Amino acid sequence: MIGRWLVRPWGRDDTASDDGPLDNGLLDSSQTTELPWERHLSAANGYATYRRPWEYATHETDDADPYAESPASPTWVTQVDGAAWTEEVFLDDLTPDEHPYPFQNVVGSDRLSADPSIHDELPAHVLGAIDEADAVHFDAHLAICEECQAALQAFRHVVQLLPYGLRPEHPSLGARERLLELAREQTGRARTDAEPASAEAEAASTVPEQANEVPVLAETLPHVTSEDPTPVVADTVEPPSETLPSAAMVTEPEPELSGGAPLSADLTVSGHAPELGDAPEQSPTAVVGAPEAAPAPRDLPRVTAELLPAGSAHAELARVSAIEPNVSTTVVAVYVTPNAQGERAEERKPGKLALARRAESLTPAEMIAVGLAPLPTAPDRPGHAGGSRKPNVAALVWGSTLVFVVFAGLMTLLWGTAGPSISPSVALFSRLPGGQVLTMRGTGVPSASATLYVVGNSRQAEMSVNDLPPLPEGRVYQLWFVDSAQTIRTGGSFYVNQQGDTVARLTVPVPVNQLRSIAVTQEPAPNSRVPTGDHLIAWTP
Amino acid sequence: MDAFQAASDELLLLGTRLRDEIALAVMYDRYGALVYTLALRIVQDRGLAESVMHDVFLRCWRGEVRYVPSYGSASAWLFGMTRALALDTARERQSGAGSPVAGGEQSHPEWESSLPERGEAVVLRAMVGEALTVLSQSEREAVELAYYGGMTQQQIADRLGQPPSAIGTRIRDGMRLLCQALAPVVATTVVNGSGAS
Repeated sequence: MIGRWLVRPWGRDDTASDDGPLDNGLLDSSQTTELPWERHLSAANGYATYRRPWEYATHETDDADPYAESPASPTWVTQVDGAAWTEEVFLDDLTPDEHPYPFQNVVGSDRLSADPSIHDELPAHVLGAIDEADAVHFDAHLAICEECQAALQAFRHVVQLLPYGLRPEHPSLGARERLLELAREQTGRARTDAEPASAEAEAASTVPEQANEVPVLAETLPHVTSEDPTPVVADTVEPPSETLPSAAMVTEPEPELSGGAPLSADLTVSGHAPELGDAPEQSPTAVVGAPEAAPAPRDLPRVTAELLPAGSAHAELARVSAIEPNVSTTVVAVYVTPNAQGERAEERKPGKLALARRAESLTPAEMIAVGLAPLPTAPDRPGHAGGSRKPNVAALVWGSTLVFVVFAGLMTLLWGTAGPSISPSVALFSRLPGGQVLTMRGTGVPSASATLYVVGNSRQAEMSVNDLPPLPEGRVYQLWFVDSAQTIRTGGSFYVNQQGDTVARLTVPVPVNQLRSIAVTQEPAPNSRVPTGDHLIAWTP
Repeated sequence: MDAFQAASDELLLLGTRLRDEIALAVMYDRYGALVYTLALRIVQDRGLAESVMHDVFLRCWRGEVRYVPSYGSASAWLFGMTRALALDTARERQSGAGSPVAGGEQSHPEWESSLPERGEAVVLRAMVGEALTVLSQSEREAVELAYYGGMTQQQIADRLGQPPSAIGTRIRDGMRLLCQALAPVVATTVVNGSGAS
């Protein structure tokens, strides 16, 4: 049985079923079955081609062959907006002999590629200002036109920037609070059906409507207390120590967690994980590393670990062993999300929870950031293989609703390892007018240099450091600002990679026009109060 | 909270989707006004613009929509969604009752900025504002009717009483001028976008 052939416009899957087929081919439209065709636009031969899945073809062989009457003329005529052109039609990757129908060699001409003015349609196309039918044409053209493909991205980005050209308007004062209320309402609705929650729990937690991201109670382990100076730059955030979980499940650090070994982080994730049993796909997983939606920082792998339930309430997350030890500082976020068939929150049995008393105060999706301590020395340096540096795995569990900690400031340090010593935003800032670029030159270390990119009139800056000597163990570099009153302020501490490079984001503590000098020194401890070392790199107006 | 302030847009979107209220709040602080501005420009009504804005963020919250890095930056994705929703809202209202309310109202007097605008937004605002001055009035009008009005070239031509080819030319020239003026930003954005994939 063969039916009406439905050709879906490329890239517009939704419209085809609504608007009916754009292509009835030569087939009798009185036949009923609609078979989806996938349109492949091939730049290689310059023609648009349509393909369809093999199974449709096999189904057809069982029934009437639409081409039986005219096997020699299997030309397809595609009608789009009154303009006809023929199409090459073939089944997936079959040799001619294997074709159930002899229509594989029909090649027509794509009128689109013959129209020189079609290129001019690109800007309007990006703005969505050409008609639907023309858009189909243009899509076909775009697929085979390298010129337009090259320009497409630029135009698209221009369009995306247009809202910045509007005179700023501001929503009403209560809009923010209303948004948060609406969000709470929408998540609370799912729960109130099943379980009347106390007002307190309602306020403190939210429950997902769908079960695909259901909370698993998770805690990280404070191997190192939060008083440990978190390495890095000025906007580092330290967790309020009073909110550290007092009942956190603690596991011992791996014995090989000394310098030189791959960094590891142990997490104990406690919660009512679904029983594995015969449905292993239901086990929750934790992702360590950059979240899926974020651009992965360079060289930071993403580790997915299955939470192996011990009992039903306890699981241990794998080590974060893939993180390179010579990344000076890294922060990973851990997202614990059960898979699609995870339990609904109301089905949780608090008695099974290792940390039951916290169960009501956690957000649906636990997100815990684990700060991995800097290894201030290069891992391949001789003499420290037996070192005993402890990984600074700080548990950051924040308050009742906040379990989501991200150190963007730390993240920016990740560019130091191998690649460009300049981050994309630095690249952006340095090209824009208004920003200031302060070049610091090696004084104590002549080969070293650093560049500070200050954004516009703000004090936000990114610093790119090159060719500082590797740090001895226990030492750290620190940035200092001196203002016109000769007050010395720190800009934060940083480490460098084996090449002596790093990139860090920071806030300049004084207005740039009041700066009298900037210097980098080597200090014994992060965030020292006063500089003690020599000026290794310095800037003066 | 400070850590959230420093978080990338993409991470905040993820946090929002995972129902983290603080992520949502920070996302709102960062883009609420911009989303609202765009929605207001399209729907020309403060109440509707606010509901569009809420809708945008709540869709992120409910996880109905997911940011895909290949689309471009997270902000671009937000704006694209805002525009689509706002155009839908505007069309809905036009097909229903009432005529468009004239724009250009003043901001709510009770509004006061609690957060300094982010450095990137300041820079982009200045860049785009300046780039738009390069366009002639008619070019700018055509581009804006297409983007904010959601109109096709033909519709713009009908509305302005001009031949469609003239509108096409204006859009083309206007967009090319914008592209040139914004070249530094656009090039960088491309770098960022491809870095994500």
